[in-house]
Amino acid sequence: MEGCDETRRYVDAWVDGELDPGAALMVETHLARCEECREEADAIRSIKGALAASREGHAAPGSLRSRLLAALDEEDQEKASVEHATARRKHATGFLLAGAAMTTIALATGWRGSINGTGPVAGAAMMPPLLDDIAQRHARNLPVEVTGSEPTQVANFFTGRLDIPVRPVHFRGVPARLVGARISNVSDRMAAALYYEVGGRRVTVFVFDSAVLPRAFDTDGLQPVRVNNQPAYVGNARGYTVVLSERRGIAYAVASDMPASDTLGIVSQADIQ
Amino acid sequence: MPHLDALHRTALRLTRSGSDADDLVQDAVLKAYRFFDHYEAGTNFRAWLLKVLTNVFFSKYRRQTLDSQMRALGEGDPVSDGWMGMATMAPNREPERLAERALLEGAVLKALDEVPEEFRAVLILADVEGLTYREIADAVGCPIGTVMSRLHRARRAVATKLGLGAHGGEQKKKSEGDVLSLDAFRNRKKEASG
Repeated sequence: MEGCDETRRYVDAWVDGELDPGAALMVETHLARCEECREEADAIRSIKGALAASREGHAAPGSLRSRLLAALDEEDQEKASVEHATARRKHATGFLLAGAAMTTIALATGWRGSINGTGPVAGAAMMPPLLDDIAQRHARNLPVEVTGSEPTQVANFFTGRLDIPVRPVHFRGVPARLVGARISNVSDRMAAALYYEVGGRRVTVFVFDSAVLPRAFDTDGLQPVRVNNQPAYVGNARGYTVVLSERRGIAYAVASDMPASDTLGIVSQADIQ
Repeated sequence: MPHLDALHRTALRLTRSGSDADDLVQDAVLKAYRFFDHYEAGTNFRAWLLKVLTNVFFSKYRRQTLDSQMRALGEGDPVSDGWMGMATMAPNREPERLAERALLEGAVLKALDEVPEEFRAVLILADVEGLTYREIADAVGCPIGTVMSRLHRARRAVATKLGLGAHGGEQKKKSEGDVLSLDAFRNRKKEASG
C-alpha cells in the first residue's frame, strides 16, 4: 500500500508518543486503512508492553548495596586527602538527596540485609591468598601457648612478643569462651591467634598488622559489609567463613566454621578494648 | 533506592552477566558520584544515572564493534523491511490473561538479550526505562534520528527472534498457514524444546 515506507519510518515514534500532532495524524490516517502497518504498530506495542512489564519486581541484590557503600566510603577517603572537607560534605549531601539516599538505605539495612540469603560470595578460583592463609591456620588448630579465659590476661602474653599491640577481645551477649592463644602468622607477618569456643564451635581471632590487608578495591572474593557501622569484608575459604576488619591500624580476622551470617553476628558483638 | 534497581536492571540487560552487572553498577555509581557536578539540577536524575551507566558500559564492557553489530542485524534499509502478521499477539488485547503475558515477557526478554549491544541499549532505555528520545540521544551520544532508526531495528530484531515476522520484502506475502498467534508461537517453542 502506498505510504507504508513513510509510515514505517515513523510508526515507532508514533507508538512512543514522540511525534508532533501533524506527523501523528499522518500516521494515524495511514494506519486506519493499512492492516499490515497496523499489525506492525500492534507488534511494537506488544514488545514495548512486555519490556515495560519486566521492570516490575526487579530489585538490586542486597550484596550490591553494601558493596556500593564500601566503594563510596573508599572514594570519600580518597577525596578527603585532596578536597576541603566542607565542600566534600556538600557534594555528598547533594548526591544522596538526588539519589534518594542510596547509602542511607544501605546503612539502615546494615549487614543483615546484605548477607541475608546470599551467603559469602568467594569462589575458589578467586580466593585471595590472605583469606586462604587465615582459613588454613584456623583449620589446623595448633596447640595453644597460653591458656586462660580472661581476655586481658591472655592479651598480656603477647606484650613484647609481637610488634603490634594485642588488645583483649570480648564478645558481649554471645556464649563465647576464650580457650587460649598462640603466636601465629598471617601472610608472613607475626600475628596473635586467639582461640574461642562459641556454642561448641571454634572461632579464631587473628590480630595482625593491617598493612597485610588487601586494599579495599582489590578484594576479589571478599564481600564488603557494614558491621556496627564499620566497614568489614566477609569471604569464604576452604569452607570456613572469614571476616576481616580494621581498628586503629590493627587488622582483625575472625575465622569460623559457621555460616557468614552467624559469624557476622558474633563479630558485631566483639568489643576490642 | 529505586534508582539502584533501575541501574542494576539495565546493567544486567546490557552485560547479560550478574557479576559484570554488579561491576558495571559500581563503576557507574562511582563515576556519577565523582561527576555529580555535571548533573543539571531539575533534570531527570534517573536518566542521568542511566546515561553514566551506558557510557561506562560502552567504554569498558563493549564486546562488539558497531560494524559487526550492523552485520549481525543484516544489511538493508531498516525502515522499509517488511513485517508479517504480528498483530495476533493476544496478550496485548487481553491483558487479563496474565499467564500469557508472563510467557510473552520472558520470551521478549530472551530475545532482547540477543540483540546487538548498541541496539539493545537504545531499546532498554526506551521500552524498559521509559526514557524520551532526547534523553536516549543524550545518553548514547547520537542524534535523535539515529535513536529512531536503532530503536526500529532493535524492535524488528526482537520480533524476528520471537518468530513474529519481519522478513525481507520478498516474503511479505501472507498465507493462511503463516498466521502468527501466541498459540502458534507456543507450539513452535514446544517443538524446539522437545
